[in-house]
Amino acid sequence: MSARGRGIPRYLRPMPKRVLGLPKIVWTIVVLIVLLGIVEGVAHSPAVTRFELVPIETMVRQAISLLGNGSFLKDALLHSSLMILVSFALASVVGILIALVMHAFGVVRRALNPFLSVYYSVPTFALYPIVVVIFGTGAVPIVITASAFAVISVTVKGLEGFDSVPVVIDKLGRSLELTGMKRVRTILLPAALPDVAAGLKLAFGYSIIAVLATEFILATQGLGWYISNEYDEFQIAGMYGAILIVAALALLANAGLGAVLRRFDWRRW
Amino acid sequence: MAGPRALVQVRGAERHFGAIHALGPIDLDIADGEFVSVVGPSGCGKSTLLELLGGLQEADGGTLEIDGQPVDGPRQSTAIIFQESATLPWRTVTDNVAFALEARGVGRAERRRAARELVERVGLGHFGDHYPSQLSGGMRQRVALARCLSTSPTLLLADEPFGALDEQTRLLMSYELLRVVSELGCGVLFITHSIQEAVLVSDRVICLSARPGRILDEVRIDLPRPRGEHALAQPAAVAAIDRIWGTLRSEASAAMQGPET
Repeated sequence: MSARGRGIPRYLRPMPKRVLGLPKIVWTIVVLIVLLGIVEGVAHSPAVTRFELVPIETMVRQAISLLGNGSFLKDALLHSSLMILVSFALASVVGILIALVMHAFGVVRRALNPFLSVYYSVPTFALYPIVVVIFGTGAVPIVITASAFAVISVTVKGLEGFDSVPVVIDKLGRSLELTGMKRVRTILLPAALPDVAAGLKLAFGYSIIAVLATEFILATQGLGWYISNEYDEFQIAGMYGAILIVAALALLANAGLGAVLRRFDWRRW
Repeated sequence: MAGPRALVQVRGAERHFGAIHALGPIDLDIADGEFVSVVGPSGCGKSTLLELLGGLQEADGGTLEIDGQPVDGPRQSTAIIFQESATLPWRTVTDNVAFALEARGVGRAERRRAARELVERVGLGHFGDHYPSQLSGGMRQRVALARCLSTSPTLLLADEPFGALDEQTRLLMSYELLRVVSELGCGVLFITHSIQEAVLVSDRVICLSARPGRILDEVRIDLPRPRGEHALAQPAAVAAIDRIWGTLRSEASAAMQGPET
């Protein structure tokens, strides 16, 4: 314990900007470098062959060359990004609507609540082949599966948000005769916004996972398909390059979405 | 009732919650521009009475009329100020004050202009762009006051509005409320658990019994207006406080010992 902090209760102390004398961001980078170092070390060790793991440098080179490849950009990257965005948008809208209806009608809530609590353990991807049988291969079954996978977090967090309206604000709204959509617009949605934002962030992550996973299982284009196809064809370096692109993209998109959503979170203002 | 016509007329109003008889029967008149306080032991149905008049709850017996119209829901020219500050944490002070006007469909430019003026008037001029979380409890109640002012109500219902404030702030806010009310010229039903506060602000104080709340006594407060700094030191005030406490003492202890059902 440093002498500076002594005597001041922890809850009064501001969050330290530096950890062990270094800025926090440096430690994040240190962790990243150590992890990459481990991968690099294993890749160069006799324990693995080039068919199992390739050095980081090869991955990066492959990723860069993929980013210059027109058909990869169009058929894999752009296609999957569109699938992710459509699934995310669908899950968001449907999820919030379900939460609203559940909040407004006690009957619906009591009917759906048990399903909500077991929904997480439903193996959504196991149903994907059935959806493919019904709708054929292509965009539709992927979007349906991914939205179904992502919708739950929006609904659960949205419901939490709608329920968080303080009684006194509800009374104020009623005394001002705010009912129906007016109440939704001026009280329910803004009150729920921080929770909804948290749900949306989760849903975005789930959309990425679900789109790639379904493409992995069965698809004719997309990032997931590309990765699994490279694997099947023993193009291990290309597979790792694509995985690197996915990881970097998901990280960037998540950080960007988080930054946007934080602006709506009045609890942090 | 002598004097001006009754703004509020309550006859035999009652309220049950399941098997619990919460309130009544109650008869109560409030004249135009009259300031009536209700004091009583906790759980005696003070807030229920206020919510009945505000149209937030329905009476299951008797009649309630405001301006000759039966109360069948919230009414445009009734404003309510709640105990906890009912401010919207995601709106700035100005937008909070504009909220009541927005609910009525007043245009954006007009309601913002009106709100800015009111923010000035309740002494929050420098805080128009602040959020409620950045204000003290007293300042948040000023926001609520300004919001009430915006709709020029003829009846103001106040449910222990200063109950959560410290003693000094509470006194200052009482004077603030008196100023606002005299500007509006509206009738007021003021719920409080502070006898001093009730005597300081009211024309008339109603003492309610322990549940089911019934009127035990009505005390007219003959103090000149505007009420100054020494209003509570005057013999009339001291006598009123003594009389109200005498009425409530046994009720308060009954409420403390009564079954918690």
